[in-house]
Amino acid sequence: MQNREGVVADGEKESAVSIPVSEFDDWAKFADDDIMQQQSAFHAEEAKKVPFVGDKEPLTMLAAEYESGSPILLEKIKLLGQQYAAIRRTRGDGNCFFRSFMFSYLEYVLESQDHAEVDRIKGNVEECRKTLQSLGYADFTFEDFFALFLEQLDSVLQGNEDSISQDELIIRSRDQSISDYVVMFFRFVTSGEIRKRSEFFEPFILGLTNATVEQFCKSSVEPMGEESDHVHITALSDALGVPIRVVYLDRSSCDNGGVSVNHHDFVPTSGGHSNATSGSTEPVSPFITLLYRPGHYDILYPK
Amino acid sequence: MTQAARLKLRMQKELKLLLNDPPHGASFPFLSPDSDLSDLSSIDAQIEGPEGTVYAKGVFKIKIQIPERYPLQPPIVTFGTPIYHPNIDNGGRICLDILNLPPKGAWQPSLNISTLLTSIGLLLSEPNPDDGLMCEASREYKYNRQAFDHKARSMTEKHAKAGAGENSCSNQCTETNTDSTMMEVQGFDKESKHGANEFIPCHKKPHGISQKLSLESTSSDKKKDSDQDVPSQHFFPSDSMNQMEGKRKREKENDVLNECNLNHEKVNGNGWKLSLKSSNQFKDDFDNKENVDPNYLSSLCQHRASSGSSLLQASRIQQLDQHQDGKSANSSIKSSSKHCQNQKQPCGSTDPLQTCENVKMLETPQEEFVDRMENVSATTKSEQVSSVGRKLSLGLKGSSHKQQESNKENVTPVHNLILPKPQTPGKSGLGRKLSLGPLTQVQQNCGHNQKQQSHRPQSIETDVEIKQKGGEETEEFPISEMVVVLDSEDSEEEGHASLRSRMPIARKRLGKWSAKT
Repeated sequence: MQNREGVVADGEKESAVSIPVSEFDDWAKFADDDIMQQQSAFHAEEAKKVPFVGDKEPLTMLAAEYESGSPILLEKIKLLGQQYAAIRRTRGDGNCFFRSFMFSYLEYVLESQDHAEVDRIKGNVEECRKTLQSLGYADFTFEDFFALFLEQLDSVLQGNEDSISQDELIIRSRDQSISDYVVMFFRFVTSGEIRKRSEFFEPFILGLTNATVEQFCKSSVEPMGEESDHVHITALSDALGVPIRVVYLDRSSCDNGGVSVNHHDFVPTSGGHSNATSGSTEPVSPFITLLYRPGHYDILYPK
Repeated sequence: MTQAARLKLRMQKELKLLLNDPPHGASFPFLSPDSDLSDLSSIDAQIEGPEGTVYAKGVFKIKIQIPERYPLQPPIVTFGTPIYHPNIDNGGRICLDILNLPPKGAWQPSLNISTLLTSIGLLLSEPNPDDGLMCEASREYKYNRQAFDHKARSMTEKHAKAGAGENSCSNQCTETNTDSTMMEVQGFDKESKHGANEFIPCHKKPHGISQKLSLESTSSDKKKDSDQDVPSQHFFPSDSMNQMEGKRKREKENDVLNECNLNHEKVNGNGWKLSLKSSNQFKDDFDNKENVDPNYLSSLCQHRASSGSSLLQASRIQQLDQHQDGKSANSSIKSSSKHCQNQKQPCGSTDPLQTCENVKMLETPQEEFVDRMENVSATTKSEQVSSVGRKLSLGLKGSSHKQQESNKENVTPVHNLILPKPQTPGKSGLGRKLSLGPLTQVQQNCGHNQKQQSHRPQSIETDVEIKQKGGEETEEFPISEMVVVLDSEDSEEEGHASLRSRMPIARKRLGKWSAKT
């Protein structure tokens, strides 16, 4: 106390008087900052364990994880093994759906070199851009994210000078400055789609959170780290015209006592984009398959 | 493209928008289209206080730091200009959801600096006291808007007006301790000034410490005083000046604000005392709530006592007071019954005038006020000096909010209230004890504020009554006797039949009280 007074100024009584006060203030704040710091440290630690996008693992690894778990789950994993060969985990940071979708989609393009699909999705991306503009978004707030996604799209198509290999795709997906930007691109697209078709999405959103469409987009779609639900998946799938299959791994079982792994296909409803290639009558078979365990999405690879 | 390159690209666009289409009320004195774009990690903005708010006509500096991962991460925005706002703390930190990432906050990359500044402008127009960063400001905002508005306005006046802004800002920007601490003290002082109505939870915390410090400054004040050949309590009158000025301010224009603030800083050393007084006043309010007007008076007496007794130094001063009172009243105040009688003499409406006179002697800057007071009176004895001033300040403080509510010129009755004389040293112990109770009751105060208002008219009534009774007789005496010296009741009661009816109430009230303490 005395020392401090000495340090602070001979003349200024005012400042001397209040030092303890402000110290107290700082101290109070410090606790808050401390908690935040701890929290981010925790995240950082978690990050080391699981990269944004992990390595491809055989499905048996998943079985090992549940070895002593629910028999229903084990049974389901066994069933999964009949259809799927591998799993690629993503970090559970709230962005896992978007991150899984990103990698899965780019990887699909990289492997299939499906130029038609790339052209198609570029058309959809332009639509999304217009949607956002018409919704009043300032161009500069989203165009960087759009540009980055289109950049990735181009680079997974081989034959360009900046084409990338799968290894490079993995590296990029683990690079926060790219990965997060692409995730954010998807969030913009999703938010735009929900807002554009707010009448369609409203009942679903009400069922989820009791929030308005606007609030929902603000609080649960656009912010990074907000987890995705079927509303997000539907919107993203519709907006980009990309079908998505989600396989559910939970403890539910069928009425007849038998166990089966159920899945749901999110098939784009809007426009003819998605049907243009596969024909309108044929059922769409999603090339993106995600494994859902309550609270988390990973990528599944069919056999 | 690297992150840095993307950030730069984004910032270029942001700047273009900011310069071409700045958000309402915002300006960027240090930005130009040719600004060096390589270092945009920080942007200095200015935002005008929205019209029609307590921040109107103020210009607030805002520092916007752009994190590496912007816009995925929110910018770090702080106020460079001190501001009194429920959601902005003394370090300029802003409590605004969009400044934090979810889940705690609501930042989203679709936001930008322009929208951010718009939001901050909105925050100025509509503080969010339910999510307050500054607990006392929040409470005031919710429960005592007048005090809040007043403080916020004077802060704006002091720091955010052209000229004043400059230097406080630069201080703030360099994150000097002094600046924020000064704010703190100032706020503190002001709190005590308006203490009557408000609830200040923080008060207790800094109390002990500031007490020590204030002692020191008090003594230094004395030194100064002796240099000037002025009685040692010079800060008391100036103190009371503040009080009066404050009151007057509310009645009149805001021009005086600055002056008042300056004053306050000078008197800073008194922080402790002031705050003590004000906490005593909480008690007053509390009493008011209970409808017992006489009690109000009695509590006034008590806290006179307590403020005197709680500090060694103060008690010394008190003795001085008595001394001087003795002179002016031509009798010394040893027995309380006498004491009461004596009180009446110095306490008449001339007292305030005396104070003014004193103030004039001691504090030239207050000319305006003094002038005003001089118009009213000419009869002043300068010997009295500060002791009276001090008493006055107490009384005025206690009553000022009444006036402010009623907008009546109750000055005379108010002064009557002031009259309670210093207690004899022996009694001060009691007073002190009593005063401690209310400190803990303070909390209830805020909850009861509304009630309180409804009681005000009543107390004013009493004032009027007093007047009718012939100004000389002061109502508080019976009560002060009761509190302090119960045996002196009789003498007073004889004088006032109507008062008698009040007595039981007062007594009851007192009974409760002593039970509490």
